[in-house]
Amino acid sequence: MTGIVELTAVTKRYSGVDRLALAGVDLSVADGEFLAVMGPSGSGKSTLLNLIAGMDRPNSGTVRVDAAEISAMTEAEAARFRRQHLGFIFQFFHLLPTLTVLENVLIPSQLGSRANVGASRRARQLLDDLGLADQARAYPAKLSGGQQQRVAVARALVNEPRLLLADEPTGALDSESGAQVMDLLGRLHAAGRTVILVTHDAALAARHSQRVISLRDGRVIDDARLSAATAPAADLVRVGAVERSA
Amino acid sequence: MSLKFGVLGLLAGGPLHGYEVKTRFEAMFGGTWDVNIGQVYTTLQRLERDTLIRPVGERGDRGRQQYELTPAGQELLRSWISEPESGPQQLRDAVFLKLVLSQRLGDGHQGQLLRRQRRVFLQRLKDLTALEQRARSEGREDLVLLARGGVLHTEADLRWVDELMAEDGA
Amino acid sequence: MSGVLAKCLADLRRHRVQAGVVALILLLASATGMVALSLMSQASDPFDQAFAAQRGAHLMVWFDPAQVSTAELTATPVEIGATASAGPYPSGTIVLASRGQKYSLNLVAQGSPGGAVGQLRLVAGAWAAGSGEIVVTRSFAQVNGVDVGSRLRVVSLPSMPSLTVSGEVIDIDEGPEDLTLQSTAWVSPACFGAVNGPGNSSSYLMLYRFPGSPSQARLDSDVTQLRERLPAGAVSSTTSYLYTRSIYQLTDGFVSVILLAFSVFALVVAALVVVNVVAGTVLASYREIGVMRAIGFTPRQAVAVYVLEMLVPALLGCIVGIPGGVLLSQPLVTASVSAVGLTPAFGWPVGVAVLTFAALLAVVAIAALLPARRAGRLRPVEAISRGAGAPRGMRSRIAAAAGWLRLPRPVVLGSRDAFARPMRGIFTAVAVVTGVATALFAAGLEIQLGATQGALGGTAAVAVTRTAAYPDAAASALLAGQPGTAAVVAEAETYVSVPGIADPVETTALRGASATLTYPIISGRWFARPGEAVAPRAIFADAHIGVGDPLTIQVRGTAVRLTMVGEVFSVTGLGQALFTGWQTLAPVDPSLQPYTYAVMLRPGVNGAQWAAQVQAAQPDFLTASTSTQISLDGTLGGVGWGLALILLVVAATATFSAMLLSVRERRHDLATLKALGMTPLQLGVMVATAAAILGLIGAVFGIPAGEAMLRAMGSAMASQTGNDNPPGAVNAVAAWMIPLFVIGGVMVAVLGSLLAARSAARTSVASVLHGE
Repeated sequence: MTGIVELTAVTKRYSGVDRLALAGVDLSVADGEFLAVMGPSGSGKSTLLNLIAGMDRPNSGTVRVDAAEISAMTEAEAARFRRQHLGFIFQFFHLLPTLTVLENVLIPSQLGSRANVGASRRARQLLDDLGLADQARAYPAKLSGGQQQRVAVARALVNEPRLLLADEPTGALDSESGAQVMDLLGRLHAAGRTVILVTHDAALAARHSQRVISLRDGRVIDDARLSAATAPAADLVRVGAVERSA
Repeated sequence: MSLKFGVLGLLAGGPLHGYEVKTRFEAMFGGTWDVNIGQVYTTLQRLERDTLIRPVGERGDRGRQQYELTPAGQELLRSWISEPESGPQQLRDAVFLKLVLSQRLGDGHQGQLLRRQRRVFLQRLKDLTALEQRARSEGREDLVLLARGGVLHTEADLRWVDELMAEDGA
Repeated sequence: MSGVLAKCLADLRRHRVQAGVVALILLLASATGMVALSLMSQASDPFDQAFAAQRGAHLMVWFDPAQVSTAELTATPVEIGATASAGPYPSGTIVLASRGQKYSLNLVAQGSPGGAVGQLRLVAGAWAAGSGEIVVTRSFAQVNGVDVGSRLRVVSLPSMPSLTVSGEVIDIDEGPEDLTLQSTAWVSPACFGAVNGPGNSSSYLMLYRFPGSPSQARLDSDVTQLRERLPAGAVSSTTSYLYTRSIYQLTDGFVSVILLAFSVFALVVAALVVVNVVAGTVLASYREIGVMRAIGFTPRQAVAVYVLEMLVPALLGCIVGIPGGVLLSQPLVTASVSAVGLTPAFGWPVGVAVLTFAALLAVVAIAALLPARRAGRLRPVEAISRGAGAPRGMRSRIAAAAGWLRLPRPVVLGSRDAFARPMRGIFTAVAVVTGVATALFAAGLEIQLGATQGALGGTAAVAVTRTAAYPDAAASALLAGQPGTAAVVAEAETYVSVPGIADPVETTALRGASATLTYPIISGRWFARPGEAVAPRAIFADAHIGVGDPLTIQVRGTAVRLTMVGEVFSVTGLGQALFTGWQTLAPVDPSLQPYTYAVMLRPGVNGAQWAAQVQAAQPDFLTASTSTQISLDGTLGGVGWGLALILLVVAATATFSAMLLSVRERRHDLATLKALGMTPLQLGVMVATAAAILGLIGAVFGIPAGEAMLRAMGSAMASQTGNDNPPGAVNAVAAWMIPLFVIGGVMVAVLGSLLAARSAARTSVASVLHGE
């Protein structure tokens, strides 16, 4: 059965660099899965995400998203596909500084040729859900990091994509804002979306995801499925040991 | 780590008898440290012998006998609390042992072993972060701290396993 | 300080395009400047050198042999203080024919080319020894394809004798051939009588030379003395070396003025572009400057980096451009030099070159220094956050309007971008202003030159000249009788004396419906009655009169009262010329004879065919040609286009570079939009919209700027020629053309931005967004 994302024998080399960024990666992501991609810097995890989003093309192999071969699309086709099927969240938010918060959220819905019915309502609802309703008319420069990232999440959701891609979403945030954003992703996953999270933080990876793949030097070295967290405290942590001498 | 200072610490809050010591001790660690009542009585005996505690009131039934801190005991407790722990690091020697043995035994399954160990750690991380969340929402600050400690240690263990895997050329 | 150099060189390596732009612009500006300057510094030199070498005549006077004897003439040099003299030479006119062409020349009888004054340099063949031989000037020979040994028929005499060209000389007193001043030919004194025609009307020619370089005033007083001492009417006409030299310089004057204007313009454009590029770069690098400051660059060092970054490519540009400009100017210099018989000597105008070099680099340094200093002084944190690209989110009205009109989102975003960063927007608009103004200037100049050219001389369909051997009556009848003739205007030329003007003024008497000739009328009207006349501005200015005022002239000693009813455009005599009706002068000067006939043809009649008919009817004594009289093409044609092209390249480069920087500054947002799903087409539309808006603003301001330049140029050119601007030249760029320039400017801006956006789009999204 094919998953929502299918990578087949994907390699990627950046020009002028000897090493392969990705060296023959096969990956199948099921619909509704929460996948974490881990690895040290330079392991290829951001490259992987870019290829899935169609923002870059592999040197060989194919990338399929929602059964469409995004690796073979033209720039224009990939762009259209991207805004209809994916939501992307970046480490550094990348909001457009000349647009208000609301306008930033609406942008993906306004790039299509057909008027996007309900986008405005959805956008406001999203901002409301994320606690940003008061900032709708503000400019990004006035918001804190955590708030900006939440705006970015809203922006990623305005077209109701099935697949969410997040590249180190908490990397530029303080721990509390980061926790908020991760909770958000968890809830979005619980509501039925597929989430692919790229991170170097193991605890972050394990927290919400059901599956953790680890990359090193462009290869997948581990693909671990995790079961739901159930263990009581005593099974997890044991403090101390009986000493033999007083 | 011995029970000694835990007991002294508990008695610093007021006289207690043996069973109370046990229950309060376990509660302090959020249920992650089961203590044998016999061990408690033994420790109390030793502490009394060392004149760090004394019985309160008449010596009666062991189960009902309350104890309190002596000045010497207070003093020792205070100085212990203010000293950092500088004993040797406790490592996960089981993993290390397994790795060395499997290398020695030459059965070539190190990679497999490490991967499975890795999964254990990942699962543990999942479970610990969930615990942390629950503890936070229940206001159990002590459990939060414990969970955090567990998470950080497990992360370190995981990193160590990653390095072992790299060495192994897995 | 090596840190400064290291950073500077690294930046230059990385921003090659921008460095290339600066180098190119400086190259073009310095080349243009050097062309102008080297031409100007050499303009009069060749003439002066040749003049001195050939002992040219400061003053040439023709005397009426009936009034004065040779003995009296030989006494004249002493009387007027001339240090050397030559003559009296018998002098007349001759019309030669060869290969279907006719040439009217002055004829002088000389025994040898040498003399104390007015030496003729023999460059081919030998002097005319006996009868049947004639010597012509080299420029005459070159232009008309005549060589030593060619046989020419004398068609000014009914008997049409033949002469052989025995030699070619260079005559310093001549002037560039393409200005159709009458050339001179020489024969030996023995056969002068035989070939001079018609009716043996001849003069005595005396050449005088004075110490130093006498002024016009000095020469005028000498002529006055001659008139006083000699019997009345002895002095027929005079010409001075200053006149010849200024004719020589006429084309050079045109060219110099044009070149000077171009180079000033080019320098202004270059300065603006440099300021634009430099300030724009600094704007785009605020963040980097902040980082530099944070690492430990002092403000001075940070400034030094940017100033050097601009100076290095500027230096390279000048190093190529300045010698290049000198080399480019050589063909022009050569042309004018060889016209006076000198071999062009290639000299490097070192002083001028060094000065230009220093001046240009100073402009660059200052343009770089001012904005860089400001940036360098900021505190590092300020600079970094300033440059983080968080502009005040301005709600621009245009963007609001675009949104309200429900235009596509990329258009709305683009229009918002145009105003989001005000400084960047201003720079971009300024680049377009210079571009449009330059294009307007260049095109308008071409048109202006064309109009001026068209205005030079009356433009009848065909001009027919007759030799003296063929009577006026016969010629008039023949021409009038040709099928296709609509009107014939006969032109007779004579010299009159105008108060306030020392030299005799060339006057043209027109017989016939002269108002139909298209001499451009600048003010007033064409003359209608006897006693009325028109003239170019120089006459009015020099005689201190206005249109409508009376003017009393002296014709052959008789006073004639004229009413100056209009001002016209004519470069004849550098603006010192008069035009009047036949009836005004004929009674006073019975010898007045027209030799040129301007013919207007019926609509639909082909001029060349008509001319051929006439030629066939009278091949020997008439010449019919369809070309206009004076052509400036010789030196100007190619120059005008070439310089216009250079300036257009400069302007386009300026606009492109502004767009480049603008897009580069926005690459972050562009990458984000791409990641969010904006197609390449939409990105293009967005970028193009911003460029179009700024381009429109720039174009709108560029139009009046260009027109102002044109007006200034026109005035300069006109004052050189003693005329006001001909009507066609003033409104050189017609109203209907203006939208073309606006559209052109916008298109160039849009094109530039699209090209820049394409290269920005090539850098993968990943490298921009993840490389923080």
